[in-house]
Amino acid sequence: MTPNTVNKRLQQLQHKTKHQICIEFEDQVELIRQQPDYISEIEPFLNVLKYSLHPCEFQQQINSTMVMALCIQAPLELFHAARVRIFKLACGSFAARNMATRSLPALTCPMIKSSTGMLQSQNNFDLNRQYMVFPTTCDWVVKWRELTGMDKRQTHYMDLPHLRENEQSSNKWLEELYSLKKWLEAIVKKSITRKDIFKAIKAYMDAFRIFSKLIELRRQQRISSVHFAVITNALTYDNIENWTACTGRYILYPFHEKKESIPIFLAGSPIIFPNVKLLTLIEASSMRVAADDICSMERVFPGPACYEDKSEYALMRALSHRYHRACICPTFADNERRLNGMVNVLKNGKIKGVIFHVLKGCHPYDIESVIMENKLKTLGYRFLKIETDYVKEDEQNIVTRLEAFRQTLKQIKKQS
Amino acid sequence: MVNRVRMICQHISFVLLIYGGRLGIHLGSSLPCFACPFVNGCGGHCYLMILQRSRVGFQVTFDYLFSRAGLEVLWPFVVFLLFFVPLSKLWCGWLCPFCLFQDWITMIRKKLGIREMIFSRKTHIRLRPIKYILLVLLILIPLCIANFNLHSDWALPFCRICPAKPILPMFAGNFTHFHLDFTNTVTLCFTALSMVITGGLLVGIFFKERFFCLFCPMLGLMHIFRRLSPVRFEKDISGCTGCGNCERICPVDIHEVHLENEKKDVFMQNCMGCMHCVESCPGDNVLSFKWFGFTLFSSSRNYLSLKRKQ
Amino acid sequence: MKIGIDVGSTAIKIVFSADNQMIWKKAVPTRPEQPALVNELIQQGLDDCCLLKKDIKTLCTTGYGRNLINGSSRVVDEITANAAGIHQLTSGRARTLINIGGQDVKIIKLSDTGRILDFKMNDKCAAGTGRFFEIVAKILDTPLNEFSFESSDEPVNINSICAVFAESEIVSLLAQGIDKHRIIKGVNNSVARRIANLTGHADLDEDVYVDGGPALNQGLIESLENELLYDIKKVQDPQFTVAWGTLFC
Repeated sequence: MTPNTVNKRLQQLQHKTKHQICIEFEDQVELIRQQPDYISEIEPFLNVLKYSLHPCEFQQQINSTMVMALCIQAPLELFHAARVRIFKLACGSFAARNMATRSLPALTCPMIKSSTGMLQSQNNFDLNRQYMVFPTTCDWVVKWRELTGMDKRQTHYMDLPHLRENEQSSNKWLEELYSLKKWLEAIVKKSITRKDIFKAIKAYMDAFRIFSKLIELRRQQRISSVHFAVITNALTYDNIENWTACTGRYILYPFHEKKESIPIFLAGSPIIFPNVKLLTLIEASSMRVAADDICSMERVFPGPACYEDKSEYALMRALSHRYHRACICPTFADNERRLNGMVNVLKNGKIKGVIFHVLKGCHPYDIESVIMENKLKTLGYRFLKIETDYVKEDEQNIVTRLEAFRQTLKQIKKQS
Repeated sequence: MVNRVRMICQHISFVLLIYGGRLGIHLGSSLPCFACPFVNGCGGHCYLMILQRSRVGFQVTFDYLFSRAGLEVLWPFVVFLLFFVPLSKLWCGWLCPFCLFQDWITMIRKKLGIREMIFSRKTHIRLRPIKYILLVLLILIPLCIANFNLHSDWALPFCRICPAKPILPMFAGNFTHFHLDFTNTVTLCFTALSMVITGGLLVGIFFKERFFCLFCPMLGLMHIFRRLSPVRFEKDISGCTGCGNCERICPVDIHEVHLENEKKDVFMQNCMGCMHCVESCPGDNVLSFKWFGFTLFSSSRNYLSLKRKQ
Repeated sequence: MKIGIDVGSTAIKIVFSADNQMIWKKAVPTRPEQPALVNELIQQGLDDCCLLKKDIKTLCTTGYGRNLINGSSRVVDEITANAAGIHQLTSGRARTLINIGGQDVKIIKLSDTGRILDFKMNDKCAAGTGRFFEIVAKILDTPLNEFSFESSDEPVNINSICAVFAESEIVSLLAQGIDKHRIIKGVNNSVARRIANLTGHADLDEDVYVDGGPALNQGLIESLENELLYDIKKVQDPQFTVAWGTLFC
């Protein structure tokens, strides 16, 4: 084949994939709009998420630099302080996989596959010229740059210490934050002052307050699980002030409690729009996700930032702890306390069942699921592990399990 | 909220203990906080001074100490306990005037946006015994004066080097404690040491919140008797997610509260009940101060997210 | 009179019950247009039992096609139905149930009152299921009811986990001239191993029951007993426990 035909074929493939991504997105949005619990306040978030599948359009639409980042350990506040817009490299599109299968191993984590495909489907998009931040969480993330053949020029690695409770790791992570700050300063060609950081922290604290109210509504089972996923997913693409305003409007709606549905706790691999299959199925089985500790949902905010004073060091330290010690990523070695937070929520919300979502190929969560299962079962909670990926063909199998799970939860309810 | 109430308490207590005497208020001389007796017209005395004095403290002969008259030594201690028991170490964080003085300096530092000096966990552990060494010395030296002919200029050894002695009287217009006493070698040494310590601590306090408290023998003394008090500082270990807020926010960087995952009791040696950690803990009821089982204040996610509202 | 229907992936099972007695049962392979097939079966049953449509008090459905059937008075999932069925049929003796279905395997832990304590289910893979036997039966040209037999032949080892790969493995074994019986034994062992893996070789509570179509194959049960090291019991009509169970949910 001549380079010309190769190029032509690539363009066709890009075009086809992009088209499929759009259709997939529109279908999912249409599905949300048809739900009886649809309210128009969700629209701004859907609009934001539309750009989450098309980095090119995203870049054109914002009037600042775009920095792509994987995982939740790189502090959002720092990007805000540097006045760059973050584009979270996590894609939930099944259609995007088509492109990626060319360059990735067959058993790759679906999220990595899909994100790769999404980037490759962009026409006239030079990956090597994008700014990217990778915290070294799981192996997929660590090796991703090499897998996709990007060069090192514009990427920044943050060496994530996989221990959290010892002092050296904390100090190390703080250093990583400082080096990220430096890197960002070099990109925007001006320094990030302590006032910038403080303002950013404040902006995210405002968002967190609204977010707390949203969570409150969710605990009372007033909010649709899918809506919640849409709102939280949008956070990492939207301007934070805009997000706060939109969420503020959303929570004003007089939601009704859905009494007949059974509350459950969702844990495990990230759920990323438009792949909200599991959430839809859970709702269809008359259950409702009242809480979760998924990094793309409730845990996008690891908690409010608490700083001792407003010096740059104290602010950076607060951020570093918040994105490290308070993080529940399964790649951490000392992750026992993750269960504590979970059990707290289960107790307070009177939730009896935990559904653990594992994306096929997501090894850290697969490993974690066994640990969690044993611990939660000894504490008397019901546990259901659902291993799936972005395909829709296994829905029937999942529904059977979810319905049976609901029955077991109902029996507990009856007994008590 | 809680912090504001605490600050108000501190200020009221400061006025009362520094100027109380002028209003005719005197709470006795066995207070479990640094209410310095060298302040003219103060509203109460620090128990450490009594502890070092003759007749009512340890500057007595062994015969006396172990005779019936020795009860005289015991009496101020009983009064001290009566003051201490209801509030425990909350005296430090909520009522001690010297703690407030340190907090003022910290406020200035924070206003200037200067970062705090952070000690490693190891350093903190190494510094901890100092307060007990001081405590033992301030009992042994008076005993030596009475029993082993140590020169009487060694009297009140701790007061002589205590930074509160030169600093707190300033608020009553008395600057005379900043001086060197050339009477003899002992006095010269003591006054020189006092100036060095005060100067050093002032710098330390500026860069490290409540720096002096790390060495305070009163805190050590109270810590020994903390079990007698109904005040408990507890952690519900099953609810801790390990976010580390408590360690970072703590003025004296106590790390055990963050790391503890077995015991309920986390009233550590350096803890003075300022409740900063409780305020910053995102877990509902994970950290709580209790009084006879009644919860004085406990952590909650809501409190934390509303705290920083401008 | 009550009717329980299990619209499974490979077979449709239907039972008629009167006064908690099974008065009629039938299993037919699934084919397209399930609703018509089900109606046909119901009519057939009514005719056989000399009953009329108005005698049907309740009609309960379960299985993959459960939502396709009209006029159903109760729709339950297979796991709940299965647990209820085995609990009723064993008078509450069953604590662990291994259901080998057409395309999935389920392991259900039950309490003495018939509550589901926990369950496991394989996902989209035919390995270790009835479908696997069907494929093997086709290659070996041996009907499934001939899969259990007395023989002292050494079983062959079948290593492929995937049903499709196992197929080619068996073809090559046949080409080597290896005896059918040895292959069948090998297949039974291989399926049993896979089921045992799904249980995680964990401690099971006794009594352990097995049901579903493949439970008719005594050879498989023997292999399963060897693999799990438990006595494995089965009910009289292992194929119909799920359909029967819908009536007791």
